[in-house]
Amino acid sequence: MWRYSAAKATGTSHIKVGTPCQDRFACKISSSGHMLIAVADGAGSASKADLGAELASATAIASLEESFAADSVDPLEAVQTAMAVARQRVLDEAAEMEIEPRELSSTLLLVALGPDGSAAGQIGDGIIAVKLDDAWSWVFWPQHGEFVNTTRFVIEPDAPDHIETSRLAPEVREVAVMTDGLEPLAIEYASRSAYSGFFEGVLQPLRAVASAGEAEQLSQHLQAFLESPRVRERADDDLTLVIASRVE
Amino acid sequence: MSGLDQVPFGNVDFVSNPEPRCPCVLLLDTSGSMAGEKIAHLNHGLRTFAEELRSDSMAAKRVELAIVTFGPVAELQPFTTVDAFAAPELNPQGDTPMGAAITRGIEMVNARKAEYRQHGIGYYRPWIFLITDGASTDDVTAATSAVRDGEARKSFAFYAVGVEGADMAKLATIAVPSRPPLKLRGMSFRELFVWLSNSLGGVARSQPGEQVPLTNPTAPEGWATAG
Repeated sequence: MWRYSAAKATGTSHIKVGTPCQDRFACKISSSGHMLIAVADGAGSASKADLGAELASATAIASLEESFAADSVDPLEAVQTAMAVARQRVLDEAAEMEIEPRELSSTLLLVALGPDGSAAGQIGDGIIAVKLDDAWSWVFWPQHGEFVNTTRFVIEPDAPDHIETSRLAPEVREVAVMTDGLEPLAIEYASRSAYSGFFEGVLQPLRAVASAGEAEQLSQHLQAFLESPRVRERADDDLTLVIASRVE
Repeated sequence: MSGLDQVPFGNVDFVSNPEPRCPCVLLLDTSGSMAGEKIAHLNHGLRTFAEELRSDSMAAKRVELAIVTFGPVAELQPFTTVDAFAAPELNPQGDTPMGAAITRGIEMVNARKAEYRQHGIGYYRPWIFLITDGASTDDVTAATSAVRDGEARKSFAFYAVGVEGADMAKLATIAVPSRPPLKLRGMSFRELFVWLSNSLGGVARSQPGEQVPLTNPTAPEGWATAG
């Protein structure tokens, strides 16, 4: 079984100009025993980015749950399906609301960790990091394009060409998923490496939790951490962090 | 046991990545026709520019400036961060080799981007900002196609400002239609540079997917008139 904590914080740059937090996450341990994580970062230029991020993450989790309800499901296929279903759900919502899909722009990061196989998927920026053989590494390099203030979104016409998915090694017992606001604290860009000082630091408190499911009190501490001055002075965007660890 | 150890997430360590950079190269006409009032206002405007950028903490960390003067074409200031930038005192002389200046500016931007990539430094879309009061005295065919090509590939944004006496029709054939040349209102160099500083500051603090709203310089109280 899995234990996890999750939190988000509104960016100080958003507070200053009065825009809401446009990050959303959804986490669930399915009845099949899978740890399911979805994180979406709504685009700053999109008028309903928070709704888009909410729909994308919630729909993806529901799709994963439905997939894993069947017997012998390939986790990679389940993630690919969830990506496609979430994308279509957001496009349908735009059509129903009679707005341009880009008004619902968000990234989408998915992880499904199972007893008999795991997989991950991503479009846009942000990081999914896993611990394997005592070392942390990212699964997909964040999709920033040439410039730091550009990225890809799940609703874009060519998004299917840019959605990345991958199987994760069965030995993966720990994972961290974050939106791009935390990237500069956790990833060393020059060497393109995941910084273990960050990932070990955030996973350590979770390892002390004995029971499976959400460590709710720790999630509150995680939110306080994201809102702490030492994080704030380095990151002014919306911040989301989900951490999960397998319980013996 | 220290206090930090007792707070969950109290001992998380952070990477110190270099700040992402927002490069801007100024292409400044220093031909003979700029002598007198124009160059005095331009020099004053550059000092204002440096002060404004320094007073914006994010811009001060992220904006990088370079200056190319013409003519003749000279790289007066290689790319430097705002804190190391000192406004130069420009002296007008010579003709107006605008085409060569534009080509040099594009080369500098491309070389700078290669350096950023080599060192793992993130960057924003570079700005190339041309200020002139004349008409080019050299062939601008190659420069024009390089501007059009760079704009089409979104590798940089090219802005052209014409000061009193500038050949606006010619400038309009170089700049892209989506970013038409602007005519400076009188000697509003100071207002132009305050706007440029604010705009670069806005870019330097933008997040992925965010469009940076620029103040319209052709508004009644702005520093420019269209065309």
